[in-house]
Amino acid sequence: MNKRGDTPTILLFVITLILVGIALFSFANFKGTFAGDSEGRSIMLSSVDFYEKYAVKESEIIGRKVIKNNGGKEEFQEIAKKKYLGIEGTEEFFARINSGDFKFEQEGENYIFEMKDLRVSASAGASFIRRNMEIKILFDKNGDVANS
Amino acid sequence: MRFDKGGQLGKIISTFPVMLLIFLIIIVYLVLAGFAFGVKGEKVPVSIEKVNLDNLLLKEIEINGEKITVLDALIKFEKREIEKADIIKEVEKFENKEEYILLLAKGESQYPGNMLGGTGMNNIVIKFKDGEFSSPNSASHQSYFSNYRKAGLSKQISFDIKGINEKNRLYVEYYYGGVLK
Repeated sequence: MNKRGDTPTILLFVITLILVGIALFSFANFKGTFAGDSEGRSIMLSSVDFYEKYAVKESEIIGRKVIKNNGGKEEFQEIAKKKYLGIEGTEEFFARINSGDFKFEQEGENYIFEMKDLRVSASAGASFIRRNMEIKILFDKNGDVANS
Repeated sequence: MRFDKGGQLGKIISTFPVMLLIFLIIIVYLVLAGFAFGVKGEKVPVSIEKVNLDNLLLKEIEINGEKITVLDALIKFEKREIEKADIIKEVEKFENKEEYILLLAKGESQYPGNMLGGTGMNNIVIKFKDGEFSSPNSASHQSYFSNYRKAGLSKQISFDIKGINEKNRLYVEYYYGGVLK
């Protein structure tokens, strides 16, 4: 018998059996974790996106009220302090208003609110996303938003 | 030429089960792949007009003389600072399109629209039609949330809020748009 000729065939058979075992093991153990990870990232991204819009909306509501009351930066801070409801991811926005690290000034007939390098964040398990943004809102004399 | 007939036969005999196994694996793969492609996502009826759902939670309403977002109102409701009736009174003022429905649920567990009984009573379902609005019996609220979730129309978002409840987490399930038929 040609024993050396049989060796590759036997190897092919053994390797195929191993591959078959690995493939079946993978099929049996796959629990769709890729989809789970992807869903986690997607939730974090949409959360950060939402917090960004939330910070802008809160600035608009507070700014309008301050302008209607003929108030200034200090009143803006007072109202923001009352409006903070403890949502994680928006702490920095309210903390910076509390510390006065923002601009709220009258420019001609209009008012301008500005906050630079604001970080909004979201986390899911061990993953964490942080986004830097800038809010700039122009209010007219009635407190309505001219642009943002 | 001299052929090693024994060697050829041995090769054929050993190759056959290998090929058989390879074909078996290919068949298993094709069947599994077929199942994977066969599982399709929920189809969203094209005729449904859905508003930007982020904007729903950021819509302004006025409660106790103060302008706040719908989300802030839900958080205050969870903290028992305001009543459900305060929110309903305001959301009923939303643009009353031809045939719209509003679903709003909040809770400390996922899919709060599924809640039944006393907790489910806190969920809000309002149907708008031809300038009028109505709220179906609270016992049927769960089925509304379930139907719009299955159709892929409703949305769920969660927030970490310290001290809001035992889990420090608030889930909000919501929809505002055309009626599912």
